[in-house]
Amino acid sequence: MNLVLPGQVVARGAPNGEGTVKRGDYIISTRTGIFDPEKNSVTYPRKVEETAVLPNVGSIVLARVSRINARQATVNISVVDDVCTKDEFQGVIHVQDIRATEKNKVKVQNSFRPGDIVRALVISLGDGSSYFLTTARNDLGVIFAQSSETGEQMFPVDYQHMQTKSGYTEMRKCAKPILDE
Amino acid sequence: MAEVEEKGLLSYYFPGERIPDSIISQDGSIRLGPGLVFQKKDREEEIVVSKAGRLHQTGKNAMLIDSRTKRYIPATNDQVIGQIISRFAEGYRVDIGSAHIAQLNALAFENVTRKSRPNLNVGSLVYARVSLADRDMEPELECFDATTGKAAGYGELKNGYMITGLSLSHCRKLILPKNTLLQTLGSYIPFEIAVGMNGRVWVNSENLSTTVLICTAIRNCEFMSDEEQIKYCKDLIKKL
Repeated sequence: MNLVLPGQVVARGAPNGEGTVKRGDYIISTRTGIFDPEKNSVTYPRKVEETAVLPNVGSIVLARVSRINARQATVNISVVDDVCTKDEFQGVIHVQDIRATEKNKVKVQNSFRPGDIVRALVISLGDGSSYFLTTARNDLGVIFAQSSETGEQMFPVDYQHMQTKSGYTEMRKCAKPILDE
Repeated sequence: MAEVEEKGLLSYYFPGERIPDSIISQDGSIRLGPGLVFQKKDREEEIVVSKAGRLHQTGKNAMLIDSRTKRYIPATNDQVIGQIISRFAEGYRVDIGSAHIAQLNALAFENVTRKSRPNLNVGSLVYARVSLADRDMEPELECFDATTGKAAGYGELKNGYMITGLSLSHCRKLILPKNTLLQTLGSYIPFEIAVGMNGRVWVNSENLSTTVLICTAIRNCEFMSDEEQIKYCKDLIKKL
């Protein structure tokens, strides 16, 4: 395989092909790619289109919280059933879908913050603009969060609290860590 | 660190300093105003200062850091003056001078049902209470007293004139019941006033010239002593 970089001289003389320019006698690559000596061209193989992964009812997804208000948290879904998606999908976690118990005491701001990574379950294909998700299970909830005060990474200390290494505590709806046996 | 021990009330603090336990009231819950942050660190609870200024203890177990700032950061239960920016199906978007636009639900007024909604136009002023304030959320407003459900002075401010861009500490002084400036002015001129904690004051009186006089007095009196304020007000009224 003849891998070339932009700016690299690939040939002399002959007419140049795709992905190259001529400077005087020299043919120079304008791309990172494979050089073809017969056509004097530089091309790169097109990535084979992956079959799109779509969230379905019952899928476990990973999503990043993008914004919150008193009624819901809006998230961007980027992993569906352990497969990365090509594009992000928008999802919504309503306040009544955050916890399984004591639902009337739940507050969005005590459960999620923008930037958190959440493991959630798809309960409905939603309303056209977003999937509806739930975290009302022990193994669902925030799995990664940085402190909004100090920016440090936080670790779960119980189901409702996360703490930084320095001991600063914030409230979250934590997911039960999945531990390898 | 000996200096910290000597610090009492009305003393200066810098960001990161810890409020010594000796001046924190130990009975009942403490209310923290702007510039103070509660932190829990290794089971130890502490109150840390987040901006430079003077520590004030106001009323029972309430503390705040007072500095001459003009930037308004919404806090729950603040009384604010807002201007309607746009209306949508469930309510209004209101500019309260903070980083984010506040939301005012159409049902957050006294005696309002789904059929009888308040009719506020874009540009009109409202006196409202901040019902929700959070670092990551848009602030929300209410135009009634949460405990009684009554209007309690909140609602649309009709006519009058709004002063903007006052310092927050000036507004905090104006809202005190025994404010010298307002009492002096009030003994000469009848007027209505609404003081927002967001650096805005709304004034309404019988005619334009008295309204202008009151606004001028409020703008210029921030750094005057009580005696100076009284003298300044009398001079202004003489010129009227």
